[in-house]
Amino acid sequence: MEKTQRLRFNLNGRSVTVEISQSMTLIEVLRDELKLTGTKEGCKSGDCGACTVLLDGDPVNSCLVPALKVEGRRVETIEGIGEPGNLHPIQQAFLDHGALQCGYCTPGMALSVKALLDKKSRPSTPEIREAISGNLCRCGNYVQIVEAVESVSRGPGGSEDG
Amino acid sequence: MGSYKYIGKAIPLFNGEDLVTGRVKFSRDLTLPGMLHAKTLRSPHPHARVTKIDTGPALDLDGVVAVVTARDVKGINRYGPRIPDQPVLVAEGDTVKMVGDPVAVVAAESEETASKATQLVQVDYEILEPVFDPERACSEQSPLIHAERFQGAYEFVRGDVQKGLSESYLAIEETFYSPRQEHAYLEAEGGISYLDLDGSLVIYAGMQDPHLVRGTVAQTLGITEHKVRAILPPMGGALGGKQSVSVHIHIALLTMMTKRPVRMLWSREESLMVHPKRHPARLTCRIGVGRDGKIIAYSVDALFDGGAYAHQSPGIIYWGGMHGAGPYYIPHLSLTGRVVYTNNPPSGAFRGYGGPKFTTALERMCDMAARKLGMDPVEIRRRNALTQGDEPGLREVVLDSRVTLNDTIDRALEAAGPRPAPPDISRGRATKRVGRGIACAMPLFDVSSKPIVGLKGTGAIVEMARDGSVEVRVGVVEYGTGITTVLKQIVAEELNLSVEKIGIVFGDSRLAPKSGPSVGSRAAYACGNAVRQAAVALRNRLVEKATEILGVAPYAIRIEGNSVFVQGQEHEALTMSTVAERAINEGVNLTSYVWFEGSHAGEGHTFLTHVADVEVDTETGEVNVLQLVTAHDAGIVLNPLGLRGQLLGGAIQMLGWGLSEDMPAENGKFATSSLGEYLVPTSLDVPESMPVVHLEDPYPTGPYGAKGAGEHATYACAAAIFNAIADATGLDIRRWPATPSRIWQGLKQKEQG
Repeated sequence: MEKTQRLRFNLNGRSVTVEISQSMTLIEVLRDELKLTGTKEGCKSGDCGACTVLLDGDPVNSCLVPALKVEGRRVETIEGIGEPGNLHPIQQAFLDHGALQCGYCTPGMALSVKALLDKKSRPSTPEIREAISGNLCRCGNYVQIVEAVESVSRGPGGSEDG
Repeated sequence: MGSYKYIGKAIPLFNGEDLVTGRVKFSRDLTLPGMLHAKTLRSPHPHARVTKIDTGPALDLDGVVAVVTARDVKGINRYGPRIPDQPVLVAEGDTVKMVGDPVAVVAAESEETASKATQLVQVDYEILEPVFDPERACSEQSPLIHAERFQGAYEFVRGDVQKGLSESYLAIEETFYSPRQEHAYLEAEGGISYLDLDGSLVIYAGMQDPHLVRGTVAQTLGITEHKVRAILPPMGGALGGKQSVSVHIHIALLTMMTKRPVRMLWSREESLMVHPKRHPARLTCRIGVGRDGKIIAYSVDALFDGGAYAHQSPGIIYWGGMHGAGPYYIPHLSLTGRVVYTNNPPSGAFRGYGGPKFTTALERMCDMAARKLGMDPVEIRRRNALTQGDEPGLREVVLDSRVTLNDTIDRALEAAGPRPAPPDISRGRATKRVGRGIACAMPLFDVSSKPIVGLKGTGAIVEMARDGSVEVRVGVVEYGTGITTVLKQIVAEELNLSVEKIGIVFGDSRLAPKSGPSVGSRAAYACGNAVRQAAVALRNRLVEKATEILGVAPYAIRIEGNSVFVQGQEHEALTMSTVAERAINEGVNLTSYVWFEGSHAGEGHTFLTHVADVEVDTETGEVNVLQLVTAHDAGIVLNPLGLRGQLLGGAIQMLGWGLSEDMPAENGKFATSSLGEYLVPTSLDVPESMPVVHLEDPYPTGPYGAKGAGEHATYACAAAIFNAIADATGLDIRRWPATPSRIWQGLKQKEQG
């Protein structure tokens, strides 16, 4: 496909410009053009949530988003929220609670959690489950993920009301 | 139990920081300059003879670099881990045996061009009669798909079941049908291959046994094994499904042909179509019990649909059959199982390896018998529990450690607390019923005492460098089980070295010794023992050298961190790097290599109990699992964070197998082509309460007393849920997944009597 379009958007706090073809999806721009492979490809059909990124703060399946739709908008990927040695509290909590095994769903999962906590600092357990319900974790770490999120939002040992 | 510094500690995954930040490169994330993109042309027919292949039009397409068919396979065009029955590419004159069989592979400058080119390859087929029904496939009248009709079988007979049944107070016969289960690992198959500067063929791709891949690639391509290097990047799940060869041979072949790097990424649809799944099966069971609930006789006749290729089936039916009598003593026993070839998509390894089917059948039969006797289902299990000294219902296991079944039952019930309260019926109609189910198992694990996929024993290397840092090299692979973190803990413990000083190389056929595949819940036991022994040997050599340098007795030496201390002195006597430097300069071998083989025959064993509480909506047929308890004796826990993850993860996968996951094939084709249609449990399906209890009964030969555990929560979880459904509604699940429509229909039929 010929790259005839110029796309400009805010990626992880920085403005980027990239030449793309009309039919590209956001995941293709991120992974293939910008080489940001932290956004994982699981199904390319919006079923698994592995490619979740934040678009203006909301979680979206980047495989379903036409790249041209993000023109002028704000995109956050896993590369933007923390790095080894300087983890985001959500990432640290995932590690400490054993909330990951193979780690393939983790970037998308962490971003869905971040979107939730950015909007609501103390979500209820059902709200946490709902927020990550579009992110499949085949290793089956949902219990630990919920525990990790609760530890971030309530502090260690905190209760829902406390 | 000693007190340990690293063993038993909740240490997070050692590469966890890279995983949570998205810095890890999985197979599908890898690219190389100048790489070609590969695609596969697959058969649309379940059974047909290929009469002609014309690659001309595809080769003419601009951007196509190679179109490869069976003619280009220079080695043996047949492979398979147990039975070499699968072609690399189906040749002219040969037959395709399933929808998705590969006929040609294309390498092109772009993925789009490669896809287009596959459509231009002209293939003529002569349609042959397919066989889809496994029962029919067993008949002599049914056409043979391969030279053999069956992929494998299991048989264990003790006593006389017929006689036992006739002497029983109560005899029941039931038939169960279990579904095909898709792994749905989030990373579909993919990989990249290239020729290294020294001419070696390097393959980076997901796999569970790099040495097996190396051997298979060499044999099919007709090159020597040492020219092939198979490397596993971090892998986005495997669950047994990556025990089989996927993209490996095809990309290797294309790289050899084009001398360029080649990448192949299976689409999700392709992955669903061709990788082997958990076998669909029929299990016909008979049980005879006394008035006291003692099981007198039990038999299973199992038929697994193996699909078009054997993959791991011979091993799976064997492993499954070995779980047939569970943790009970049964005097008259007959366990038989067969896996038959059909033209359905292939079946293969999936966590539990046949064990969950046999376990579910037995645990349902026990429950049905108990209910008919008016006996507490807990009681029937206690009464039949093996005791030490019993011969269990399989040849391979010696009960060489305490039988802890009843402890797991006690602890599971204790963790479960009071039975679920019936719903409030004061308002409206009572459509919801609650119930509790229990199920037990004696899950096995490989102890490296006999060959596993053609290899007996487990190798490991622990090596110290001049700077005092350590590199561990093992052939087992990591896909989230935490095994590499556990192995580092073991080395840290033995060398009293911080985990950060230890590096680990795994899943690289050139650098790592053969350790066998990461299957059979074996890695922590087998590789754990090998690594521990290697670390101890290394420590002894270091202590000996330090003793020589310092002129003190060995017992006066203490290693800690990067330092060597002499007893009674507060200050460091030597740095570890000084000792290592001297040792290396003076001819001491600091590359400690151990080959571990299990000391006792057969398999290792553990005990496990699940308790499930469910709420069934009789109006919609929906099942809500309120609580799922796991009590498991995995021996001494090496890493509680990792072990809990293994047990919870296994249970949740089998919640899916029991209630929602199904992949039926019609005319050899799946109706399901996306993850949207295949119902993997989400965060909303997970029970609100999932207690995990670790019983720590030390295993005599395990590293620090540990047993295997990786697959163990897959065995009895679905049975516990089905037993809870029966408790709640009286409905017996004989065919699963127990979807709302099946339950609703079952309840309706029951009502109509």
